Amino acid sequence: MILEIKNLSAEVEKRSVLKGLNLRIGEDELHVLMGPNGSGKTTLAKVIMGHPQVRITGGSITADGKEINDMPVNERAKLGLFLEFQNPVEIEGLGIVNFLNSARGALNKEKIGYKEFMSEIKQNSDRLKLRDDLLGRSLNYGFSGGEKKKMEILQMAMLKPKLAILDEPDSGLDIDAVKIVAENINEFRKKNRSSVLLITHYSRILNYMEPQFIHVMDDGRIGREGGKELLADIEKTGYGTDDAE
Amino acid sequence: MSSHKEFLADAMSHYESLPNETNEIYKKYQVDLPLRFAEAELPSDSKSHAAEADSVCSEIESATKIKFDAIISSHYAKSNSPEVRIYGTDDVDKDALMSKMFKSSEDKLAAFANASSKHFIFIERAGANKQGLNMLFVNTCNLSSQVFFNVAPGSKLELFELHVSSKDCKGIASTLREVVVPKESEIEINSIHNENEGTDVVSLCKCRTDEKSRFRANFVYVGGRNTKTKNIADSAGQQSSVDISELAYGSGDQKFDLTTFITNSKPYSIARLESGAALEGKSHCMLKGFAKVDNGAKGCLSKITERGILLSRDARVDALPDMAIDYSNEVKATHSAATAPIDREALFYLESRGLDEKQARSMYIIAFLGKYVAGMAGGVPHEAAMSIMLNKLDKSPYTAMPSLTTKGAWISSRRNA
Repeated sequence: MILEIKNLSAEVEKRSVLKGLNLRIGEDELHVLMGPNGSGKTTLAKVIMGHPQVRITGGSITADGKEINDMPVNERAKLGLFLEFQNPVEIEGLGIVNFLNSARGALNKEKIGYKEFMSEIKQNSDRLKLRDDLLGRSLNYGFSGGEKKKMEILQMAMLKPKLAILDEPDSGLDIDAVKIVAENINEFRKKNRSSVLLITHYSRILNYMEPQFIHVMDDGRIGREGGKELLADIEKTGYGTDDAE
Repeated sequence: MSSHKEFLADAMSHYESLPNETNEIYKKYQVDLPLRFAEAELPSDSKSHAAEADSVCSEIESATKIKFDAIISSHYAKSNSPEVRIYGTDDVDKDALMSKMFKSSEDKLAAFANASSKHFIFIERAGANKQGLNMLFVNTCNLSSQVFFNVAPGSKLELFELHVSSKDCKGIASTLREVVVPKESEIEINSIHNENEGTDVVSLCKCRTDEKSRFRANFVYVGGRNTKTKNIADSAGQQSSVDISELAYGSGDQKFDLTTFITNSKPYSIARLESGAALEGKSHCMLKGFAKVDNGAKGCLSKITERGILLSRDARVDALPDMAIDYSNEVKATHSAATAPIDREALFYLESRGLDEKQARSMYIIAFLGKYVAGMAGGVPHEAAMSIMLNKLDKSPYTAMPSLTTKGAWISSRRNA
């Protein structure tokens, strides 16, 4: 999938957040999006996926040349977009296995037998070092922050999107878990030749990855762009804005 | 033996003399049912009612593969199990019955049930038999039954009750259960009410547990016009437990008035109540849970959780959890209530995984409903409850076959185990 965002402006509750943003993500590419708090990273992730609270006021988002500005959320998922939530919702009573089974059905994924399906879940779960009992529980219900993040990565691995937007997959993870998540993202990309837009505040996760593009957001736009060498600058000087942490 | 007429006259007179409600708060939150069975309304042709009940039973058995051990309808009852004995008003020993009956001196609902009951059902269980019992209640024109349990210490019993109405039937369907759970035994009642829109539902359950015994009851109210319930459960043995789950899934103009009192009266006892309501249309549900911790109930656990989701703008839930704690040392006691519309962020989450808006909404609702049947014994009761609720949600065909097709709502293994 090729995702192109041109001159995109968007608001949340009448507050302008994205202000003429441009971004292109090609096939099989790993992009990293960084930037200070409030610069619009999560809003960008949400608007690509079609969150109802984010209103596009100008510009366009296209996937493989098709404008998706007004496309329903589930149709975007069917095109191959996936959003890993910064704060995954908890739904008590909704079992993970059946949820994934239903999602795969909705996305028209190839039909596989129950045993094969369960085996695939187990393999991905083991690779993420998730406890076995979590798979028997309700979706994210009572999970720790780290378990929720891993569950999002598990969903990505099972649903095999063409472009995954990962909104801070490393936040709240311990050192070992950051490495595990990074390795799983790499494995997912290698297997599916999918693209990833990874939003993060910290360069630690990037020690285990090879991003081709680094973008730094600043007040609703892409400010600086470059390769992995940009990370060293950011580590040294920060984002260079008043809001930088 | 006193005559049935005298008994009925006494009971009805007592019923008439009682106020609808004595609790000042509950007076403001109650479904005021005009409970009255006129003799003239009772069916006289028992044969046609038997045929109707048998026909309904065959239809359900065929659609769901459930086999019922007993069928009870307005003027007809039959048992296929030696563990279920059913008496009519003419052959039951009223004096012996009085000693077992719900203490109705101040309870109008119980007094009504006592005054109107036509079937007296005795469930017997002794020894190692672990087979569950399935009972079908078919309201063909006013149905009132009382169920008594005679369970030997150390036994285990699971009772599944399915309550329905015959087509075009109107009237009241009343069920009163009197449960004593003897030492080291377990009783579980799974009751699903799916009567038609012409039926007012009255459901009562009184329970007392003995030492190291367990009582679990799961009540699911889907059908009916007005539903009024009262459960009174006393965790009355050391290390005994009472777990009650009740769920109203309403639509249209349905009204539900669910009242449950739980008591911890002995040390290290457990009493928990989980009440829920998922309401569409203009339906209205009152969840009234009251927990009492008696003096001396050291180390006990008391918990009330009331949850509601509003699936339309006009639906309404009144959640009124309350507690009275007479013994405050080493007691864990909590109550909580929350009601909210459907969570938009959760719907976005589900839609982002490929489900359309309708599928996402259904999945969210089923997940909520599923929590309240998760505690049911696996197999028949659980599948039947989900099947009936799915049929109400989106007209899914009835089924009771275990499958992965419950619209993505996986139901966890039993809670609080």
